[in-house]
Amino acid sequence: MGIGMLSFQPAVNFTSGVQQMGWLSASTQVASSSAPEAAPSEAFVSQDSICLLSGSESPQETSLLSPDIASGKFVSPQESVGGALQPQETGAGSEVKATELQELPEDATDAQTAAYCNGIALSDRPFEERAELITAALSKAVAKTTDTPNPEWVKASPQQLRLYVEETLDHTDGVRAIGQLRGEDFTTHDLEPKTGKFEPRIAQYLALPGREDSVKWAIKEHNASPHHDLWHNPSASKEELAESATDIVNAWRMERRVYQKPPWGWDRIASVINEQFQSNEISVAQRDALYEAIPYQQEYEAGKA
Amino acid sequence: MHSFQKGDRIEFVKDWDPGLPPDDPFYFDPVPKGTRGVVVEASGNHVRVKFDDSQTWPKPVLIWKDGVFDDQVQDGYSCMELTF
Repeated sequence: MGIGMLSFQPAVNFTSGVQQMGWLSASTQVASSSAPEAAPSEAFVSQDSICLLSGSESPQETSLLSPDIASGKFVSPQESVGGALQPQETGAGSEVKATELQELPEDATDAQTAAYCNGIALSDRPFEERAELITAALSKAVAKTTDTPNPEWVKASPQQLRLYVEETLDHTDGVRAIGQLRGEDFTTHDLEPKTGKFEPRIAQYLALPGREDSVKWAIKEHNASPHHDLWHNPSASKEELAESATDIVNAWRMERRVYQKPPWGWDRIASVINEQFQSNEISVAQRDALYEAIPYQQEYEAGKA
Repeated sequence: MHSFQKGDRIEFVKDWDPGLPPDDPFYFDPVPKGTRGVVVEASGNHVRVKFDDSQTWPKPVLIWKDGVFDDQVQDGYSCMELTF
């Protein structure tokens, strides 16, 4: 992006000498309808294949991360060969175990698709190849999934999903790399089971450029991720907010393909953080976490240039 | 471009989409032409506007003066005019 390194010195004036704690409001409440009945079969024609929406979709299986991840020890891209997570059936539910996944089964469940996509995202394959593989798998799953509060909501097309996948890869690659610069492990950022961006039920709407109820619902579902949850925790320290702040600053600096939004300049970022703090829209911890995320984002960009 | 002051009643004379993605922590809905509100805070390079429609915009919205920042983001100052 050609941005020079800034020696960033935040200049913050506390209002009336009183520090008031404020935090971002919770994500928009969206009324959700009751669970949909089984949809009649219909054909969805994608660019690459014809997928049939089945009216007899099997119940969604729960997917869990491997025991290593569940215990808090993350599997780094270097540790997981191919970076793939493979779901395995264990009776009542399915567990996702960190093994090498060669290919996605034809009748893959949403959980399996998400695990496969996450694994590809974390692999050391080239960006284009990862985008292709994930888009193909996600397009198929999105066409098939019936996991939605409203079956009448329009789903993202494969073309929209491609933009979304590229943007998500851009972002997760960036956050992961910045995590390494910070000596932290942000490997699973936005790639968590159930709330990650490659969960078909979330991707089907999050890939849409509008602000319809479907998009707001998908955002709310994704915002149940730990790093989003933590951002709304008034007791969280700035250290604990490192991943959330990295997430926000990186997103501001990205060209957002899905929303066709240009990246923010550094002056805007610094000014918005200051002004939002002045207006008690963010807490001291959130403000400081955001300021601290800036030089790491700059370092990351300098390394890419 | 007019410089607004606290207490000014304004109306948007053009549609304004700040370009914030819905997942942005400071997201607010685009402002269509005809939207009215009052300036609750004003400084040299920005204002905060409390819109009459408090359902769509429950909190005052931060609006920067056009040209303050050297990026491609569209700011909304030039979309606002004084009204009564």
